[in-house]
Amino acid sequence: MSSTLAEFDELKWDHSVKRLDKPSSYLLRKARRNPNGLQDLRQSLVSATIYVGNLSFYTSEEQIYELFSKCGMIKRIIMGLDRFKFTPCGFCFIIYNEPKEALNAVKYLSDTKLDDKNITIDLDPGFEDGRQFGRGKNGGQVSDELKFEYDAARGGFAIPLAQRIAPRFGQPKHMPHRGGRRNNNRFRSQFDNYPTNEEAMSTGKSRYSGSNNTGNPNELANGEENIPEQSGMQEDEEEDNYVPQ
Amino acid sequence: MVDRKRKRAYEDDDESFQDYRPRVPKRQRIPPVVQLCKEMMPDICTIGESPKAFADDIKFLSEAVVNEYGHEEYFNNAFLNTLRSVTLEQPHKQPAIALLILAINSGNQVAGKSILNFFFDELQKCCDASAEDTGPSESNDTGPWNKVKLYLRMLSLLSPMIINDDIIGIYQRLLDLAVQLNNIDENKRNALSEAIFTNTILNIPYLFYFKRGDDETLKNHVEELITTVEGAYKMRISNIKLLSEYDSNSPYEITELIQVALPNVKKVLANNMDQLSQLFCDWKDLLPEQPDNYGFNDALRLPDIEKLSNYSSLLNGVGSVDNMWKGPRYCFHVYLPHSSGEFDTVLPVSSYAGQLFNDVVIDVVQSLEFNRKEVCKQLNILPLFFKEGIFANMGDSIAQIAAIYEENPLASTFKLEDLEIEAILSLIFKLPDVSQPFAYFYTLLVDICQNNPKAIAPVFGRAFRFFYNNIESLDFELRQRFLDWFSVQMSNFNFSWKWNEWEEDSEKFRDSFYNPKIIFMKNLVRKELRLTSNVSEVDDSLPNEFKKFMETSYLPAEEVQEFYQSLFTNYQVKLEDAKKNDLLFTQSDIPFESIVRDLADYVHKQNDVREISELEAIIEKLREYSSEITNFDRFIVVLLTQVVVHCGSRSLSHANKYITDLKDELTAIFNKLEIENEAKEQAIIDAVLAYWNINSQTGYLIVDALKFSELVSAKSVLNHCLSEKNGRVYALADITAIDTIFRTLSQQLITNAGDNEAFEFVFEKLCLGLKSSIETIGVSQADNIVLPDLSQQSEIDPINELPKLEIIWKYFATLGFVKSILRKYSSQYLPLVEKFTTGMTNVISHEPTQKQLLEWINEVPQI
Repeated sequence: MSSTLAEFDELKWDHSVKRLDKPSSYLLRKARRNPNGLQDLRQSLVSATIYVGNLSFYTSEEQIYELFSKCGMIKRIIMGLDRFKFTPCGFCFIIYNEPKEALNAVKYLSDTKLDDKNITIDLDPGFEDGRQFGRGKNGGQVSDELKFEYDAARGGFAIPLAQRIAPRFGQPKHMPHRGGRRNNNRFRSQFDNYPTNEEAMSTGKSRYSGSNNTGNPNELANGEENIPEQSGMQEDEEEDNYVPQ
Repeated sequence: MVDRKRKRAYEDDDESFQDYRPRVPKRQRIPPVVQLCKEMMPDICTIGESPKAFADDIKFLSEAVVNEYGHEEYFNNAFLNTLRSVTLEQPHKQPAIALLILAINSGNQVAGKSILNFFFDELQKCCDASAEDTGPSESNDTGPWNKVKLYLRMLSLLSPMIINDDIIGIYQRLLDLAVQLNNIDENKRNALSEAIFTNTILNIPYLFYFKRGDDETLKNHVEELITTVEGAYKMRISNIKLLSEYDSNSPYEITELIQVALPNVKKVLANNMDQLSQLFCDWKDLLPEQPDNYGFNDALRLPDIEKLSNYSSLLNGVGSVDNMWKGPRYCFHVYLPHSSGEFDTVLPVSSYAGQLFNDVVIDVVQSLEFNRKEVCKQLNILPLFFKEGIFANMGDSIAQIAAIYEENPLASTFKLEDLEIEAILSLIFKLPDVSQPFAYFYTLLVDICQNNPKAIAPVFGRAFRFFYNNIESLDFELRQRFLDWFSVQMSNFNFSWKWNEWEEDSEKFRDSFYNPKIIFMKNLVRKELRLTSNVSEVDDSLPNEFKKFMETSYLPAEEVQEFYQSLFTNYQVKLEDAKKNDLLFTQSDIPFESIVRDLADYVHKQNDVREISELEAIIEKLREYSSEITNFDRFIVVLLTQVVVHCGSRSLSHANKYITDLKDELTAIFNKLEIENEAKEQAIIDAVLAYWNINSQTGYLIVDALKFSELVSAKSVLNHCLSEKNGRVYALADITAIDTIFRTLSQQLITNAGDNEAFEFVFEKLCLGLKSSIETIGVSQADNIVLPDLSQQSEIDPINELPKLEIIWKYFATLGFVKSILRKYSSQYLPLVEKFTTGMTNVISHEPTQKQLLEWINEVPQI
């Protein structure tokens, strides 16, 4: 288990604003839990592969080509499919000819509209067979089964309204997914390395309190963000390691 | 509470167990210096963004730095790196950063001097790097000379703490270098020299930012500097036609940045720097007394001229602003002066402020390309860093501005939105190359619009109209870029556009194939349709007049019918069957329909169970029906191709899969047929496009896959697009065919770098096209071909005159295409210049055309 992510945790001062072509906080969190996390992250910068999410189910490969080819030459598009119905279920992988083109897509096309949906784009360590299938109970993406809103472009309600409201009402949305492994100490301990907001604020009285304690900055400068959100929302989206039998 | 409970629980246990009590690991504390940096650096990056807190920010930040600087290396590095990144990435904040540094200097001279040294060292590093081949750079790297410009600007801002002679010395050296480079070849423009000259001159007024009018010696130095360089620098204005955005009738005069730089600076420094005080913020009150003037430790070392001349073509990678100087920097306009009244909405580039804003916007857009959301934000708050009142209120409409102007002619009519969008459009429309992938600029504009649609949408609308109205003279390649931008914009904003404005044009030329406006509208609707799965949304957005463009056939259905009919002897192909995006050969009344189904079953089989003998047997069975078929070999090519395409019709990746899986079998079968290679490849392409006639983009992408599998050659693809079918050359009018040509040539560039055959072929084919157009027009050898005036006042009857107009439009489109490929692939065409010069004159005897082509061909080496 690698809880620190080497260069990905390093604080750098070489840009005046943050870069958009960095692994998302979701990818970072996943990497922290994974023994090969760091390797995967490094791989995601050179794999020339991206994950595209929040697509409409009706968006075709050709539409994706039309938009994404503006960032570089596309080698392959792999549509995410419902593992039972073999129909598009709202995500895809795009493999470009060059890693730079994939980074461009992350920088330039994230959060733009395709088919009226604001698409999300993330780096990806590389496509493996089997990942094109949704890993939700119904065959689609897990995130769709958790959503509350009606979304015609993504199959309406995943579970009929009445069914969803009754048993889940008043409960945290993702209770069923939070149990077991993820809630154990191992998981918690990694995040305990991060200062919380309150802590950061209480360290100094003035805005720029002087330094009277000299630790080794390089050793500890891990984690640019404050405590990462622990909600399971993004966790359960995409990244389908399920291989259909 | 919780702790006590837990404690008790453990105490209840066996005493010895207490030692093994799992401890909650302690939070790793972040060292105070890191914490300090985490809090302080973002504040430096956002300095000046809240004007009310600006004075306090400077005070608190400078006090903190005064205390901290020099104690810990970590802090020093973080601080200096942050200063550098703001300087390079957000140049509009430079004066605020300079003020901070001056405030630090007054409290801690060691810190002040050390910051100054840092910037000087960075400047030196850039100068050194400029003469080295550092390999491909990051896409946000604007190039060493652009960075020299930004560091020099910073040093100029710090003039109150620098010895005058030292800072002026840097200017002198840089300008000397520019003069020397410029003198290398009397007859040739030197790109690097122009860049250094313009960049350096542009920075001069910054020397006076904090020293306005009160330093006579500095003023004298500057005057001397300007006089010397004015005498020594010989400007070379080169009007390279190949790089001009308009083929004829440019809506504005062509000016180069280098022409305006010096006069602008002279103007702004004149009259006691009156104009300067209207542009730069007045922060005198915030400026503390400077203890001492420093000199630089060393003199600036500039690279040798010989070394530089190797790189003076500035062949730098993507994103580089330096690279933009490769060709002359022509000023680009969209919002022309007086186009909407008696006033200008964009600060004229012939004013210092206009040139500077343009420069700043381009620097921000280029160097922050890794965060387009931030670019939007910074562009939006740009006026905060300049004197108030330069721009009209954000979002004021043209009508509102006109009213204000009428009331008070001294009020500002300049729209920040216009200026910024014009600058970004200048990057999209930059010739010969763009500095970043198109996607960046498109989505940047979409984001800008999304942040403030009410203010920005009308600004875009005016740009759309401007390009649309000038589309007949707009460069061929730029028309495609315009189309691309427009379609992305529309797809992000529910496809709403005031189509009614164009209704008259659409009616007037409804039967035209070559009218540039019709071509634009038709391709726009088709592109929109390709970007959405909700066809009705596009349909609903179109007024009745434009619904005709919803029909997306590439060839007219009758021609597809004709194509299929040519394969059969007896069978009658029905028009409605030809219209379908389906395999025609499985019609139940085709005698060998069941064999075609066997063929499809064969193609569907897994790779490991297919045997080519089985395929051969099926084809043998078909031979029994050869009386039904006109040309058996050609038929087999068409049939097999279409069956494979049909099996892969579900998506592009299906098509790719079947083509890759079956390519060996197809090659083997086709090789046994008695059909010429060229005819075979044309039959393959015809077959694909007949199947995908309703969506030629998909058709051409499948042809691409066939090309990668070596079933068709690049030449055949190019030939298909450029060939005339029933008087129509689709490569001149259909965006999917145009894109295919550019895509194919660009791929040739990568895969067959040394091979110019495809490029030569396209040029020759286009020249032949020109020749035939000229013959049809029937103009005499010496007469110019002119496009008749088609404005509303003209008396030309568009219906009766249409055939004549069509051929003229076709002529100009072909000519424009030639211009675009010569420019875009100049490196491939360079070795062919001589050959073309003689070859072309042999083919085309029409003098004005010949002259025009020769002019472009001769300009190829300059691109």
